[in-house]
Amino acid sequence: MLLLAALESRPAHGYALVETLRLRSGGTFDLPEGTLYPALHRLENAGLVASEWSESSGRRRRVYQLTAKGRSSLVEKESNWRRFAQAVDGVVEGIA
Amino acid sequence: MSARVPQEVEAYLSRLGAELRKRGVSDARFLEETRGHLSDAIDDGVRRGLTPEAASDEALLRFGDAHMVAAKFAAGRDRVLHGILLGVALALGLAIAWIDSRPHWDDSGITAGLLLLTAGLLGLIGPRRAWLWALAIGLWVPLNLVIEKPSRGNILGGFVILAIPMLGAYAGMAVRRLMARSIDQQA
Repeated sequence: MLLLAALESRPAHGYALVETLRLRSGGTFDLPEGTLYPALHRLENAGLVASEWSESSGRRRRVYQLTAKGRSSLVEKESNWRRFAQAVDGVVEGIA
Repeated sequence: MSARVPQEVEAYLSRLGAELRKRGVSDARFLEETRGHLSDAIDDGVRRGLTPEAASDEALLRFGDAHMVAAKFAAGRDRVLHGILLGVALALGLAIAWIDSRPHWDDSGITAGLLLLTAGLLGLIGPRRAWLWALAIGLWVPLNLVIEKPSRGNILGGFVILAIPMLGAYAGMAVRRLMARSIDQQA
């Protein structure tokens, strides 16, 4: 869901995605960057993102973007996550 | 600004390629993406005031150990490939058992050869689950034998028959590993 959300506003290549995740999470999602690509490839195989090579400043980068299926999957995952987070909040606040 | 891709990065890419091949994966696109990613990370480090060497070290550290990255990458591939191979192995095993159970089929040598070859081929394609292909292919002939004529001799014979696809699958796995090692030595 995090990768789909990071791609929601605009297409991006792997390094830019890592930076987006790091910035938006305030440094919490500082995962080994190499593990991002297997996840992106799995999303692509599932039809949730599409990618193509793009060249700028003499460097080739694979740019990923959400597909229509990816967008609807993101909406569903966000809604599930909000329900889950609300439930956890309710329980934790109840305890406190 | 674009820093030259240092030797350390090229060495890392070679290690990553070797780790992927060890796991039966060859993916030029992933390696190309990794090269671009590391180059961007090094440029970023240099922009933040690091020396190219320090930026390269930082980029490699943040990307992750080649062994771990290759394992993650191969795990995703394996799930899809193994699902397909399991379906193929079951279909082949059932087909061989059906042929072997025909009333006029009396050539156990050909049955054994088919079990050996098909399991060997699947072991070559998917070396990490050789035992599974052997079972999926080889279980049906002895099972049919035991169901048709249940006896202690047939049960023992069933284990001997099962050893044939096991031998084939592990031979296929060994050939695949030798091929990967040979490619690494050439590289």
